[in-house]
Amino acid sequence: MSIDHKSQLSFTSHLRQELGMSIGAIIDYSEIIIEEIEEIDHDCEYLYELEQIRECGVELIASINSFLDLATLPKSQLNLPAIVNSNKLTIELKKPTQLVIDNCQHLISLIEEDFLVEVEKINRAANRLLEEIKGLIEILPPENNISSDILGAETEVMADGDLLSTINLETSAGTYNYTILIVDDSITNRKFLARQVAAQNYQVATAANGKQAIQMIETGSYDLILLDIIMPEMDGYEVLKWIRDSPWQHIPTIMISALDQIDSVVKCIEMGAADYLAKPFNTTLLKARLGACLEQKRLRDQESLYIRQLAQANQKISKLNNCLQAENTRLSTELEITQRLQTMLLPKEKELNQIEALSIAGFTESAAEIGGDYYDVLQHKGRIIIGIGDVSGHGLESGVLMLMVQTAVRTLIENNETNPKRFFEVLNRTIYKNVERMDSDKNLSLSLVDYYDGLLRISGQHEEMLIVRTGGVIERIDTVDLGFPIGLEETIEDFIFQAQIPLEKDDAVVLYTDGITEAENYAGIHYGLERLCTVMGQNWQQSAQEIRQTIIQDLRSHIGVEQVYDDITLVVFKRK
Amino acid sequence: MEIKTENYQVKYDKASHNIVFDGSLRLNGSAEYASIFELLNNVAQQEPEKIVLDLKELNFLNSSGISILSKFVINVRKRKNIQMVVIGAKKNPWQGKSLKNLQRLMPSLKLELE
Repeated sequence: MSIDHKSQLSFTSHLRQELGMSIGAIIDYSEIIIEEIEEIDHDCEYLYELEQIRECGVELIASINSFLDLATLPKSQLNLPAIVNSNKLTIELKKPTQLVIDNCQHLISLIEEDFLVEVEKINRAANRLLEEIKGLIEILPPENNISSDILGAETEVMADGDLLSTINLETSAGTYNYTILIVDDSITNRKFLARQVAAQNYQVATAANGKQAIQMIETGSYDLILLDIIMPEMDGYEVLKWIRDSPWQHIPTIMISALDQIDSVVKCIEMGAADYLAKPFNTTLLKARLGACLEQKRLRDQESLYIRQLAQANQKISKLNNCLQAENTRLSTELEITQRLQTMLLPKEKELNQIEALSIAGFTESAAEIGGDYYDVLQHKGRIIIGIGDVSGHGLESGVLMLMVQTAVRTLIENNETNPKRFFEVLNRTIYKNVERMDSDKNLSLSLVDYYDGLLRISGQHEEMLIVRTGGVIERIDTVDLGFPIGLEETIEDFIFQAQIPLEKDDAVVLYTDGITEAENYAGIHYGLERLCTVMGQNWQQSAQEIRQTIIQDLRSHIGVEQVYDDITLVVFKRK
Repeated sequence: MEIKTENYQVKYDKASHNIVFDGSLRLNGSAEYASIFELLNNVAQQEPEKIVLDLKELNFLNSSGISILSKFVINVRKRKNIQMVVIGAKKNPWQGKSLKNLQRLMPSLKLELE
C-alpha cells in the first residue's frame, strides 16, 4: 500500500463527510418542499422534478457508500488514489448531481416564491458538490504526506461516528415515548426538524420564538429541546438561561447554530446546553445527538425515579416503624396494665407488719409474660387468712381471673363464710361461670390457710404446704385431696376438705407456686421441692423475711442466666 | 397420627387407641396446645370402646397442658360409653396431683401409676 492505512481511513471519512453534507442538503430541502406541497396540492405540476432531485440525492448517497464505505471495503482493497482516480466514481457522482442542477433551473421558473429559498439552497449544494467531485483528484493528498491537521480532526469524526452507530442501535431498540420541543423562528427549519424527529418515532412540538417556547415549557412536558440561537426578540441564549434557572433545568437542550457560530456554541455549552447541531442539518448527526441526549436523560430520569422510589420506601418503612412502635406501646401497655392489676391488690408491707400473731413475708415476681399467680393475706375477726393460687396460662386473661378470685375470696370472708365446702363451691361457681362467659379455658389452683389461735386450717388444692418445726424438721402437707381446680368443673363441693394442723411458736410455714419448684437451670433440672425443703430446714431459726430472702437467693443461684418461665410466688410466715 | 418436636412427642395408634405422650410439654396457652387438643378430640369423637392415655414418659406438663388433658377427660366422660385408662409414673412429680384430678373428673377412669 502506498499510503499508510490510518491516513487513508481518515481521509476517506473526511471525503465522506464533505460530500455527505452537500448531498444531505439536497435530500433534506427537496423533502421539505415535497412535504409542504403535498399538504397543499397533491397534483402539483413540478412535484416530479422535486422527487427526481430527492432520488438523485439518494442515488448519490448510495454511490458514496459503495465506493467509500470503510466498513465493507476490505483493507487490502482500500487504495484511495485508485478509487478516486477511477472515472467510475466521478461519473457516478457527476451524473445525478448535474440532474439536480438541471431540475433546479427548471423549478426556479416554475415554483412559488415561498419555496424559492429552498430551491436555491438545493442548487447551491448541487453546484458545491459538483465542484467537490471535480476537485477530488486535486484534494487527494500526496503520498505519505497527509497533513497532521486533517488526520487529527478526522480521527475525531470517526470516533464520533462509531459512537453514534452504537447509540442509534440502542434508541431504535427501545423506542421511548419522548416529546421533543423544537424552537426555531424559521418555519422551514421547524418543519424539517419536526419531520426528522417524528421519523425517529418521537412526539414533536414546535415553538416559533423564545417567548412561546417558555410558555410551552411551563405548561407542557418535554424530554428534549432543540433551540435555535439566533431568533428575534428573545434569542436562544436567553431561553437557555431561563431554562437553566427554572425547575425544567433537567431537560436537555440542544442548540441549533450555523456552522460559523462555533464561539456561540461554546458559550451555550458553558451555559449548560447538552449539545449543538449545526446548520445545514445532517440528519444522521441529528438522529445521533437526539438519541444520545435522550439516553442520558433516560438514565438521569431513571436515577431520580429510583431516588423517589427509595424515598417512598423509606417513608413506608418509617410509617411501619411508627405502627410497630404503636403496637409495642400497646403491648407494653397491656403488660403494664396487667402488672399493675396484679400488684395493686397485693397485701402491703405495712398491713403485714400490723398482724400480731404472725410475721409474714411475701414475694412475687412475674415472668417475662404476665402469669396469674395469686397470694393474699386478709384479716377478719381475729382470723388471718392466707391465700395462694396459680391461674393456668399467661397474659391479661390470667391476670384478670386472679383479680376476680381475690375479690370473690374477700367477699366470702367478709360474708363470714367459714364452711370450706360452701366457700369453695360458691367461689368455684362464680369463677366457672365467668370463665365460661369469657370463653376462656383457664382454671386455677387455690389453697386457703386460716390461722387462728395456734391452729392452721387449710383447704383447697394447690402445691404442698411446708411447715418447719423447731430444729428444722419439715412437715409436708399435701393438698391434692383438699380440693380441686377452680373454674374447671361446674361443681367441686365433693372434693373439698379441710386439714387442721397446730402451729407452735416459731414454727414457720412456706407456701409457694410451681414457678419455684419447676424453675429450671441450664441443664433443664427443676429446682424441686426437695431442695426447697433442705434450704428451709437449714434456716428454720431465721425470721420469715430472712427465710424468704434465703430461698429466693438459692433459687436465683439455681436458675443462673436461664429464662424464667413462670411467675414466682413465695409466702413465708412464722408464729410469733 | 403423630405430633413431634424437639421437646415432645404425641403419638396416636389407631388400632389400639393408645395415645402416648413423651418428653416435656411447656407450650404457652391453649393456642399453642391447639394441635394436641385437636388430636385428642378426634380420638374422643371416634368413640372407641377404650382409650389409653400413656403419660409414663411425659416428664413435665405445665398448667395449660393439664387444662387440655382435663378438658379431654371431660369430653370423654360426656360420651359415657368410652372406657378410659391413664398410665402414669411416680417419677414424674406433676402427675401425683394432676392425674388424681383427672380421675375425679371421671370417676370411671382407670389410673395406673407405675
